[in-house]
Amino acid sequence: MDDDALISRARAGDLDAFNLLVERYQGLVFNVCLRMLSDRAAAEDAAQEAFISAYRVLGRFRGGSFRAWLLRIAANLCYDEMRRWRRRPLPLEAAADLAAPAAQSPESALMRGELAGHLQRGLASLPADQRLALVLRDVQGLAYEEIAQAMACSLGTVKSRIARGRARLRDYLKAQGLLPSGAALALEEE
Amino acid sequence: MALAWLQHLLSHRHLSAYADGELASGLRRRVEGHLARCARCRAEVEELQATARTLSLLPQEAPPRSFALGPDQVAAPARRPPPALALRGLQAATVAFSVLLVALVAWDVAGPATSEQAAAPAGSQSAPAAAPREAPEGAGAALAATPTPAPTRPDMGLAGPQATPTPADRRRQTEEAPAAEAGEETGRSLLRIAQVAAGVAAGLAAGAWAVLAIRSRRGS
Repeated sequence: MDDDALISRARAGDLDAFNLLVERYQGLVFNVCLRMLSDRAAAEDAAQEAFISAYRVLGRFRGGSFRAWLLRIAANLCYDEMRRWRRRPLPLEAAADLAAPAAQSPESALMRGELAGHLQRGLASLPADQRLALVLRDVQGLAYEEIAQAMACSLGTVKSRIARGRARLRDYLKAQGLLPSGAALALEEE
Repeated sequence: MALAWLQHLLSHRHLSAYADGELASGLRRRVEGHLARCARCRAEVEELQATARTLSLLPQEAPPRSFALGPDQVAAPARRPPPALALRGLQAATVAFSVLLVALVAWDVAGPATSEQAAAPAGSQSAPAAAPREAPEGAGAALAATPTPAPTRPDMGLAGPQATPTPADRRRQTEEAPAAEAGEETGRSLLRIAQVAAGVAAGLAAGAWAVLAIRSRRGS
């Protein structure tokens, strides 16, 4: 069943229909919150809260991409949480243990775990708007148009947030020795 | 040379969107034209693509639990609408009573000038060229209903209630005062009662609103 059919059933009070939507998008919502907050427990709370508020304000959904609408609610909750953090010490250490779960070979698990930690720290160093745009684009693979809906901004703003965030992350990865220079990359390809 | 630099600047900020295939065809062709001539921008595109590829290696993690909603989690909004409606009603009442209070006080402040003016003009023969004067702002409908030409001294540029009355005017005022004062006194006390009532009502509405707002916030 597609999103629209489930949404109209959920609006009529069918909780099971809404929970099918939850099942469909909980992975996406949780991972976006995780990359935004660098903290599993906080991401879990934000994701749960996002679904609860989505259910409460489902009547305000005006069509378009439900996924983008849901991500907007989740992103706003992440921003709220980060604002609260500004008044308390940041759990920056959390980024370090966001290593990948067990992979096939222990070696690649180690490699990927280290890389994941670096990437998460790199993301955490970006301004929140750029981080969100980059997570939606490069980690979740959304198109610019849908990102614009999820961030409630223009296509031009999405472009510039991705461009600036990606350039900063590139500089960060280069400084960590995780990214060869463009010239070397070009040679590799030839 | 300058043109090439301009082309570089114009294309450079679109390189990320170009790498994502998110440029409209016209702009894409322009950026491609520049890339063919600019090794620096070609290297930059490579780096940006490599960054995006690296970032896409971040694993998707399984949610630690299901976020499916239970009936208890969605029970809250059903209780919500009535307080929300009551809150809005109390808010409106607070505003309405406050506006009423301000209006009554404003009338009270404007009142004395208009009643003096209403009492004065009976003997204004001293000013045959008297022009009808506009009632000051805030004068009630009852006062406006008895339009009276007010005395205007031709030798004074200052027209209005502030204009100093002549000794004759003053005498007349004090003679007529007792009769006017009796009616004015009852009007005054009615106005006072209305002011106090509006103030108390505004206070009660604001208090009830605050209590309800705090309670509903705690409840949610």
